[in-house]
Amino acid sequence: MEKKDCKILIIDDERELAGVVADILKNEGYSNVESAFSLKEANEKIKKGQVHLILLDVMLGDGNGFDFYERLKNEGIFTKLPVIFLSARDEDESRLHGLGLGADDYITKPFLPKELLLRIGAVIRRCYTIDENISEVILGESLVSLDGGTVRKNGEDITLTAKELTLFSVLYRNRGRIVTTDILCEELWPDGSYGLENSLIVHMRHLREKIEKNPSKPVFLKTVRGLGYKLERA
Amino acid sequence: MRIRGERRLQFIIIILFCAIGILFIDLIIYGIIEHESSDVYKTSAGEIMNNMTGDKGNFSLSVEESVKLHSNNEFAFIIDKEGKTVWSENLPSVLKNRQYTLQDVAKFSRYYLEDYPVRTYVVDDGGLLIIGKLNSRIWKYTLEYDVNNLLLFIKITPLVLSVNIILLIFISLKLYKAKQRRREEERVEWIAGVSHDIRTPLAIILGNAQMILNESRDDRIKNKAEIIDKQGVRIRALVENLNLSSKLDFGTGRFIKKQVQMSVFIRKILTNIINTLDEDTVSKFEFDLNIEESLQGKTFLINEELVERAIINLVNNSMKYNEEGCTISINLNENNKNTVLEIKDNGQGANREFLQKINKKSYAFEKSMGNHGLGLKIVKKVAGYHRWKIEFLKNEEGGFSCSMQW
Repeated sequence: MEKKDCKILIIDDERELAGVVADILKNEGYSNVESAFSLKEANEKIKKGQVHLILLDVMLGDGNGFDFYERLKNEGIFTKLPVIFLSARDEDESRLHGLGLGADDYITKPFLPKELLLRIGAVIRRCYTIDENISEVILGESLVSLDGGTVRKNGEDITLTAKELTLFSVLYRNRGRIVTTDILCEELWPDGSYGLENSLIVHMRHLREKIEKNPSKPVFLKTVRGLGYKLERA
Repeated sequence: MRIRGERRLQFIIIILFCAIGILFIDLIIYGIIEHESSDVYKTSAGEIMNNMTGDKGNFSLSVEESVKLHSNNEFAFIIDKEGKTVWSENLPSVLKNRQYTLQDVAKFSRYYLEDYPVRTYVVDDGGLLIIGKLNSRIWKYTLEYDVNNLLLFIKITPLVLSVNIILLIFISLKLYKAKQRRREEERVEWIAGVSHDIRTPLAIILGNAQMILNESRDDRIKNKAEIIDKQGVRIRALVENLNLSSKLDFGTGRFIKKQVQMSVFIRKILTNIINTLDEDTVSKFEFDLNIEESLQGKTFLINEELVERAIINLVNNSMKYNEEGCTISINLNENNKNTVLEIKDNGQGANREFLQKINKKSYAFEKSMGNHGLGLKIVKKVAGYHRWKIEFLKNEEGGFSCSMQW
């Protein structure tokens, strides 16, 4: 599935907010965004057509988002459909935990557009396989192919190992942002074995050797001391 | 806490004074009533006998005493051994020419004589002097008490009284606290409500500012959108601080502590801070994180929301007062089995008076401190909540430094 096919339903009775969230999403390439300003309207839209993700406000004019969620969950709808709550009260947090949202998430208002996109991206990636529009990334003189897992550097094709490709994908998804060593280790070794930072450093060195022109002075794959790594925006 | 303790003491003293005052006033009122009542005035037997002349069935009262008896609305008579009236003065008609039996005497000496309250006195030669009151209402009763009980009552009275006073204080304190608590809860609710109402419009402002930033080609407009965005983020931090501050002041048990890997937690927070900054700001500041190897992965019992807020507030504080840039360091070290979390900068630092004020144990932040107040106040409260030792100081590089130890 591509980003533009992913149908996102925004349920919020604040029309202005629903509008600006829709704009933010469209700007990011999620072109299939719909809004519902009441739970009644939302109910109709969910039952009518294929929706992939719901952004659900907690306090709406005609009811409570939690109750709505539980009602639909009992009907078996939310077992497949991920939901992200938009909450404006910090007291809601305890209730959110009580709902057992599992893989899904919640965001407290006021959120920064960046945060919102990051959370949405993470949930969608967890629930669906998203084809990144760009399967090839140009970094200086190197061309990284995410589909093939190869790097073309100086007219030469170099294959990335599975771990190196995972590492690169995570950094690429968070391009321009620091990703902590903890998160990278979690992505590379999901079984949760701790103390693999040394292995991470080794994988990183190999990745740099394959991509960077001068691996000891990396331009793209930067180390942020004490925190983690970051793929620079081109 | 100290202010609260003082207030409670004040309250107890006020209640005590009130109780004593009320008792005292009651007593005075009773005294006045007793004093003002004319019925109480009684002519004594001695007075009558002293003004009496003659004996053996031949009595006569002096004129002054007789007048006095009349004016007091009293009557008096003497009976001899056989119960015969041998002398009388001002006697009501029902009692005239009566013969008294032993039974009669037993009755009226305790209770009433034809509804007249009378007092009985022994006269020298085996007779009885009876003094009564006309048209008056006097309540009479014979009291009889076991002496042991009486002694016991005297013994336990102070105890019972003090228990009463304690109960009185306790109940009023409870009521006072309940009222106070309700008021505090209302305030927390109110602040939560206000901040809730601010959140949605703020989300709309931040979203739109970001849209303008993304879409506009005009640098001047972009610049203005960036200012809106920045200030919006500032309001967001303020709202969150305000909410948290009121919850920390009055809330109880709303913050749940969890075992958290401090090293991972700090990395996450600092990364989030840096990732949400704009590039211009990132280029000005240098962030330096040092975590001692022995503390990597070690867990501590903390409330994540509070500690995150404290770290964010300290980093924000350093950035705000060093706009032209500085190095901000976060250090997590072990020191004599204690863990020390230090957040410092090499910027301009704070002056001595400010540090003195902020390091005071029960420091009430003044209005004049402006924005400097709330953020650092929360840091202090967070440390207090976790029972950490906290100190603000000017470090060796002259910058601002906060160290928390546990």
